[in-house]
Parts: sequence; C-alpha cells; structure tokens
Amino acid sequence: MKKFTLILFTIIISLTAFAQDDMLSMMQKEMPSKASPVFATFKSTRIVNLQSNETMKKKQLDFRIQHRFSPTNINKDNVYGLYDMFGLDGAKMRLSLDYGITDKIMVGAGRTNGGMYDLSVKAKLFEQKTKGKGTFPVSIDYFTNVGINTTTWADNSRQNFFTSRLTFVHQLIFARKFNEWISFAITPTVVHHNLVYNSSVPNDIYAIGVGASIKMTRSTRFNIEYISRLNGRDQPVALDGSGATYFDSFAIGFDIETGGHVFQLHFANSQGLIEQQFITENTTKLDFKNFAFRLGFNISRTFSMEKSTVPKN
Amino acid sequence: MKKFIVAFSIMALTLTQSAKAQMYTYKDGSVSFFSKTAMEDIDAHNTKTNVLLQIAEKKIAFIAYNTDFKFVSKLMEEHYNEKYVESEKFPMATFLGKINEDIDLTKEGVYNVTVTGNFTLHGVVKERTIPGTITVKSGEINVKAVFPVTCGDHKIIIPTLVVAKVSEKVDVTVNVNLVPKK
Repeated sequence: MKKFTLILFTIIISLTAFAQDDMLSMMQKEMPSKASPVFATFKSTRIVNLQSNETMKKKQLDFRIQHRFSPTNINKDNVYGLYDMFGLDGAKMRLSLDYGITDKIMVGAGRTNGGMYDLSVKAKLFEQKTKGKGTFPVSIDYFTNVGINTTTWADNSRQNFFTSRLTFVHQLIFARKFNEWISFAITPTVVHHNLVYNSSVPNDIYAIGVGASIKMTRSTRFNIEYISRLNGRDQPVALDGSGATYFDSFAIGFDIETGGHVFQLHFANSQGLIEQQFITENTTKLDFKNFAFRLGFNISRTFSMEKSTVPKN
Repeated sequence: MKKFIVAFSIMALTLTQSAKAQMYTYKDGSVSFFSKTAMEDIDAHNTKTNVLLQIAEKKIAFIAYNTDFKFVSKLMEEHYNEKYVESEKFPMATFLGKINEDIDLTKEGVYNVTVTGNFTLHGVVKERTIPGTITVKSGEINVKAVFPVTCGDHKIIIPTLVVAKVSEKVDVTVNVNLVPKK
C-alpha cells in the first residue's frame, strides 16, 4: 500500500512540474502551422527579357528604364568598341511603370523608342508554397499585353485600320524556386499580330521560353534565358514584307539589388524590349563565335504608394 | 488509506488546474522594431506574437513568426525575410526568460522588473537581461519593454551596398496586453 502511495505521489508531482523547454514547445504546438508562400523566386519582374513570376505587391510602383544597344563590335575599325561606345549609339530604350493593384495583380504601361506603346497585366494564379498545409510545387502566373505601334502609315492612300497597329501577347509563367540558390521558369507564349504582310506570314506565333536565376550573393544574381519559336521559323517574307530572317532570343544577365533599386546588366542577341519584339521580330542571329551580342542594362526602382498606416504605440 | 489517496489526488489535481489558471496569454498589442539612419527609417510591427506568462514561476516566453512583421514598404518586408533574417531557414524569433525581482503578479500594481533569459534570432541564441514594466490591472497584464538588438550578434549581415540605409543597432519595442489563459 505504501509503495502504491509513493508511486501515485511521484506521478502527481511530476504532472505539476514544468521543464523550461516545455514552455516554448507547448506554445509552438498551439500556433497554427503556416504554409508559407515562397518569396523572391526572382529578384525582379523580369528575368532578363522574359517575364518572371514576380509582381509588384499592392500599392508598390516600379519605375523601370530598359536599354539594349546595337551589337558590340570589338574590332579595329570600331576602335575596339569605343567608336560607337559598345553599341550605345544604336540603343533602343523603354520607360515603364508597373503598379500592384493587389498583392497578386500588376498592371503596367510602357513606351519604347520607335513609337511602341504597351499596356500589360500580370496576375499570380498560384503561388509556390512550402511547409505546412497546402504545399504547392510551382508558381503559375498569367501575363498579357497589347502593343500599339504609333508610327505613321507606310501608305496613306489605302484604307488603314487602327486595329492593324495592335499586337497581343498571352503568356503563362511556370516558376519554381528550388532553394535559395536557384530558380527556374518556363513560359509558353503566343504572340498575335493583327496585321501581317501577306497570308503566308502567320498571325500567331507560338513560343516557349526557359529562364534560370542563380544566386551569387545576397544582393546579386546571375540570370540566363532562351525563347524558342515553335512555328513561323522559315517564313519566306518577314512581318514588314522584307526578306529579313527572324531568330530566337537568348540573353545572360547579372542583377545587383541595393535596397529599393535593382540594376541589371546583360548581353542578348535580340534588341526588342517587349515580348512581341524580342520573340518575333529579332533579326540578330545567335552567334557565339563572332560575339554578335548586344550590351544592355535595366534600372528599376520601387516606390511605395502606401500611406503609413502602421499602428504607433 | 484509501480515503487519503483519494483526497490527496483531488487536491493535487486542483493544484494542477490552479497552476494553469496562473498563465496569461496574448490578447492584443505589438512587438515592433525600428532602425534609424540618415537615409532611411525602417519600421515593422508584429501583432500576432504568441506570449505566455507563468505567474507562479515568474517565467515569460515570446514566439514571433518573422513573416508576421509587417512593414509599410512590402519590398522592405521581402528583403527582411529573404536577405536579413532568412525566414525560410529561421521562421521564428523567440525569447524565454525569468523575472528576477521578487514580485507577486496576482496583486494589482505597476512593477519595474528585469527579465533574464535567452533571445533567439536568426538561429543565434543570446542571453539578455532586459528591463521592463509589468502592469497588473483589472485582470489584465500589460508588458512593456524597449531593448536594442545588434544585427552582428545574431549573424545578420548588412550588405555593404546598403550600410547607409540599415542601422546595425535596431530598437525593439514590446507592448503587449495579456489575459488569463483559458
């Protein structure tokens, strides 16, 4: 009987005791396990040219300046690149503003030199989530834009339609952040030209882009991408009626992020800065041997349009 | 003998129950931090911190998810989680400590105390003694404290490029209201 009492006594006493660590683990058990959405798959809304799965969060504004030079000619005639300043003299430029209307939907407007305006929408359909309930392996985004060519008509005597100035892009972006070091994206795309030269030129061009981003330091990343057209590769005549041949677009780049700015330095064979131009209107062949690459750089700056509503103590 | 065992068990169980009633948890308030430099102010607030205060043992514990610290600039929030505290690796910041002074928190009043314990951030544990004020009033307990955190102490590296925008020393403010745990 005594033994039994002693055992019961010990059991009850141990029930009332609390070890130090038990306090934190007990609290953790009560806290809801979160399926955390993966953040910063890519450092910017574009990999180099290709759209990434990133969008601006609500009330965040991204002001972006993009440049792409003419092909770098490192030869004696060009004073080893210095005469045209590594292609600066033939540069194409785009200014744009992208704004998050919600955390998952971004709208944008831009203007490229050469009379091209573009309006775009990018929406996060699914977000990659790890740990906890509701894990999801990839981020899926939908991107669409309309390009408006405002240059003057070639022939004012014929009937010209405003809709002929328009081109459209629809794109799905599948992206996955494998770990803090590497992210990958695949972008099936369709580019639609309302007006093409003649019936032998397709209005719709289908393409698939692949892109990867590799972390170098906490503030820098290396990016690489390639977009390959699936049809319309051997067109006898180009969109504008010339004999030009179009090529796929390839780019490698380097991102440096400093707080609110992202600086991107890259080399690409294409000159276009919006999808319709770099996917379907690239006339520079991919030539590693002769280094037929164009230097380019982008600068983007994020502004917060949020009024400070954080509670003050 | 049997009577004794029964009586003792009932008494012990009620003691366990009353020990539970001596625990207070988070009702409202926030844990926030502030970094000031000539170029930029960084301000973040967490209103979902889990707090547990054991009256009898004078122990207090805080668990805050790093992703629950909200910033006005969402980009700052993303950088905080991605580059500074690396939330994917270290999802929580915790503090577990004991009140040094001999005070009775069952009685109403304002108590100036110091709490000694372990503060864990970014996977690095540092023993801290933090001064604060505990106010017991109308069945609620308010805990207030302000203490500095040095980024280097917790292996949080500020990249050279943004050294002018992020202060090495960050001020953490705790102002939470606790109610008895049900």
